[in-house]
This record gives sequence, C-alpha cells and structure tokens, in this order.
Amino acid sequence: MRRSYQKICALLAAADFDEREIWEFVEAVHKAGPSEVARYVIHIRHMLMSEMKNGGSDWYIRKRPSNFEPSSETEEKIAHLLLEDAGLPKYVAITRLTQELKKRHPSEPIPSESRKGFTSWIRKLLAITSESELLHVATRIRNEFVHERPSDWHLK
Amino acid sequence: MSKSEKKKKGVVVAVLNMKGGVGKTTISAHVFRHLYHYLLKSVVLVDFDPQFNLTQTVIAQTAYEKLKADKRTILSVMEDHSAPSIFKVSTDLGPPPTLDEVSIKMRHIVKSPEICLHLVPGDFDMARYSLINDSKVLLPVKKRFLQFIEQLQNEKDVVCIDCNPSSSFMTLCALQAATHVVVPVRPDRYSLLGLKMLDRFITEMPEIAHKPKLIILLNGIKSQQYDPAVENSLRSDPQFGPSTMAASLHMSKVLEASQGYTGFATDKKQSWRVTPQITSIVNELGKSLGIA
Repeated sequence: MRRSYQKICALLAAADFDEREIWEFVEAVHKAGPSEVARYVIHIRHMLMSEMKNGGSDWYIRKRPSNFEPSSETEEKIAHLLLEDAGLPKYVAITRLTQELKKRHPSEPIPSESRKGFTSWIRKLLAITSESELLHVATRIRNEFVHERPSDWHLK
Repeated sequence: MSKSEKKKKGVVVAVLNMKGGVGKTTISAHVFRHLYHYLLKSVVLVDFDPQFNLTQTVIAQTAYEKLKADKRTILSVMEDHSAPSIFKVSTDLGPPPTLDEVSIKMRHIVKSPEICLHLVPGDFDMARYSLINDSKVLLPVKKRFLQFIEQLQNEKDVVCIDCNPSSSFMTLCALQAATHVVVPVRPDRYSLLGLKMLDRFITEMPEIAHKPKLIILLNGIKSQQYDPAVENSLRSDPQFGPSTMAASLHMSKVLEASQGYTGFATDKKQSWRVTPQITSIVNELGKSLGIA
C-alpha cells in the first residue's frame, strides 16, 4: 500500500470526521476522478498560502466545501437522457452510442461495455471524444425516441 | 529569446450574445476570475459595455470615480482625450496606451506575481460610438483598439472582453479581436434566437477575417423544477450542439449582484455554493481555449 495513501488516511482519521462524512468524501472522490481531486487540493493550497501571506484568516473554516462536487455530471446526464428519458435498455443505448461514435471517429477504437456499469463506460468514451460532443450525440439519440410537442420558437 | 522560448500568444475571448440579460457580465467576472486563480493564468478583463456593469460588480463607486478622473478606463484605449465633440473623434490618434496606464490590478498570486488579474474599467462615454453613423470616422479608433488587444495578447494568457448585446461598432471591434466567443445562453426560448443571430453576424460580416470559435455556455439552470426542453433542443442541434459546453452554470443567489457587496462571487463567504460548478466550467473552458 502506498505511503501517501496511508498518510492521507491517517490525516482524515486524525481530523475526527464522523463515518457519514468519510463515506461522503470517498463517494465525492470517486465521482470527481483522481486528476480533478488532485487539482482541487492544489487549488485550495494556493488559496490558503495566499491568505496566510496576506496576514492569515479563517478562510479554511468559513469556506469548507460541504457540497464538494467538482466533477462534471456528464455521465449521469447521459444515463438519464438514454435510460430514463428515452427508456432504452442499456444494451440498446450502448449499441446506438457506439454506432454514432464510430461514424464520427472511424479510426478510434470504441471501448467495450464496462463491467463496472453504464456510467463507467461513458467515462471511458471521454478518452476519444469531448463531453460536449458526447452530450450532443446522446441528446440526438434521445430525441429519436422521445417525441415532444415542438416549441413555437426554436433554432432555425 | 529564441523562437522555441517565445511566449505563446494569448487567447482573446469575447463574451457575447445579441440578447441581453443572459449572464455575460456574470460569466466575465466570476468565471474568468476563477480561471485566473485555478488555472494560474494571467487574465485581463476588459469592460467593453457602455453600461459598465462588470466594473460596477467588482469596483466600488469611489474607487471608480478616481479611475475615471485619472482617465484609466477603456475610453483611453479607444482615443486620447482631445476628442473635439461627442459626435467626432480625434483624427490623429497616437499609439494605444500600455495596460498599466489604463487598468487596475485586481489580484496576483503571491508566489508568482507575474500571474495576475487586471481590469480595464468600462466607461459610459463609450455610448458615443453608437451615435456616430459614419463607420469611416471610427476606423482609426478601431485600429487603436485592435493594436491594444494585440499588445495584451503578447503579454498575457487570456483577454476577456465583456461586450454589449448589440450589433454595434463595439461588437464588431470585439469580434475582430477575438479568437473565441463565449456565448451565454439561458434555457429560455428567446436566448436561442440571439445565438443564431450572432452566428450569422460573425459568418456574414466581411470585416471579421478570422472567424472566432464559438463556445456556448448554458447559464441560469434551475436547481429544481427544471424543464430541459430548450437545453435538449440546443444540445441536439447539428451546428450548435457540439459547441455547447457540458458544464453549465446554475442559478444561485451567490452569483447575483447584491446591495452592500462589491467583488467577485468566488470571494464571497458563501462561495462554496458555486465554486465547484465554476471549477467544472473553468476546466472545460480551459481545454476549449487550449490553455489547460
């Protein structure tokens, strides 16, 4: 086990968080992903150092981010669009997304379905396309299956 | 300095939508202030709207009056101070001023003071450019503005121009200078029309030789009882969907202008309510701008 991992766990243990807070933190880290969490910690360090240089303050107490959610919600959004809004079975959603991405990125290998679940597979897709393009594709697929009354003012 | 060591030119981002009230100033102030600190980039905010709401958001009135008296506003970028009348501009304009002559340093990173956040304050007198009909008269003014922005590109990482919502001379200046346009769109049916009009303006205006890249940012998303119809329409659009950022800005009192507070939302006591979502926006925006 890595020493840095043990040290940070010991730090959390010493900070006297209750069990619920520790679970919330672990879930938030899982949702955000490693690079986002590392960036966020470095960002807080910059702010703390800047505050201390300017005479110090209780910034870290006042601004404790209790609803810490630095990650984008793209995976959940796509799952909602395809599985809930459009009511597609997972394998159909995966097949349709794969087809669309193959058209747009013919030279890129599309990752196969993840054992860890649908949102985890979506996260893998972000290696070959941007979040905005993935949302665009998912919304177009969703619209094929959901027939809404069109707005009287729309993009022309 | 060798060629390989030469500093990469900064990006110029015009924050613009032809429709008003979509959050241009909110995004210019709070997203770009956070971008400076989170991505550690030197950022210049340029208040290019005669209503100068960006300036009023972050600078107190007394401080602004002193800046105005010292001629440290955007108006000094456009012209020197010998304009003969409100309907005329000086014919013999010299080179543009330096950033330090017309700006105020709002923040800097203590350990790396070269990374800083500047503001070029706005000026109500810019409204006079809407009153001059002869575009030839304004050519030297535009040239001086474009020279100033080019100077900034050579010195800084990001120049953010908070524009006014009209197809005016000022909009044209901003679009000619811009490498990117961030278009705030509210999830209401009218905002989409402003987006289409802006795209036509950029495409069809011959003066805009280098078409800036559009980046669409949804702003004012309700946390509860949100109807995603407009968002779905935008995201599925073949032209605008792929340019619409995945991250969006939710409605929050922290982002609203309030009596008794002058400054950036991410410096407020309740900033933790908005900082994570602004961080997501900054991460994605940084990638789109090629600076992250």
